Amino acid sequence: MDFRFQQTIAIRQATSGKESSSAVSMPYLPDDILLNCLARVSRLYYPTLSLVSKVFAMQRRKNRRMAQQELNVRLSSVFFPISPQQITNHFAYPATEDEKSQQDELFKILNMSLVIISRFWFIKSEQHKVKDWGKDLMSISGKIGEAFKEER
Amino acid sequence: MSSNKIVLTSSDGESFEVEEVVARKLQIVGHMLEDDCVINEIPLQNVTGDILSMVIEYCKTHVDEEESEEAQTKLKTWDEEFMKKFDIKTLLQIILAANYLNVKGLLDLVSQTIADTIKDYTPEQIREVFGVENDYTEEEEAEVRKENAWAFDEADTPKP
Repeated sequence: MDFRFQQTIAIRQATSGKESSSAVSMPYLPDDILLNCLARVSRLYYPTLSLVSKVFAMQRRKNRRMAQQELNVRLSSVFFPISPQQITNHFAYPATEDEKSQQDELFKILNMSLVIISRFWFIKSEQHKVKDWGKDLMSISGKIGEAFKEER
Repeated sequence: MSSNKIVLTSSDGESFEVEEVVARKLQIVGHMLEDDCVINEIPLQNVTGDILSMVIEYCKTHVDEEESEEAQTKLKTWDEEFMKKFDIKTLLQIILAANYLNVKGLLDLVSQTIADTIKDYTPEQIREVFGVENDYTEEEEAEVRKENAWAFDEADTPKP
């Protein structure tokens, strides 16, 4: 258990003797149970908690750091399955069969994304009465598809 | 299964006769029964009768936890109503008992209830509940208040 928390326990035990009778009759929780309770308090209330004592404030910062670490462990490839480099490669002539099949796969993904994006924009533009944007994107996607088929 | 009865005795000498399935919800009892299956009276040194009766009430209600959504919702409502009965001091005693008797579900439930209760407390009240010393100097406390000024009422935030 945390060293600084241990110190608080020492303070708690040292002061419990001289406190008012109402405070003495309150049972003191062991660290692990106390921390478990604190961890369950919504972060919205952390400003109040951090005013309780330095140890509480430190625990609050630690919880926040832990929450950030949990977010940071995700690899960027999870969010961006296609790297910018792969897209550049797409415009180079395939040197081997492997590269060619890779490009074909990539093209499928790109084309699919474009279709999805253009549909999304189409819906959006319907709402905003700017229909041309969506239509333009739809036709771009269609033309790329045709050009691709002709090329192969 | 067996409808074997077990007598649990609190630190202040109060006895509770419960079915074995209920007593087994207290993991401490469960372990004792596994070690030696002929016990039918168990003294529990660290729990008083009034608190033990609450723990037993919880265990009786949770004795057959069904998977169905309806049963789960019903249990959850019961849990909420059950927790409403207690003030913070009793909650602290129950959480200590749940920890000692090793009743995982009750431990979680009370931890969450305490968290929900203290969120509306002032720092002074939280210090009193947990017996924590205020180790800030006046300057440090003002600094923390300044950092989190958005969260506090204007009235108790000193203007720079």
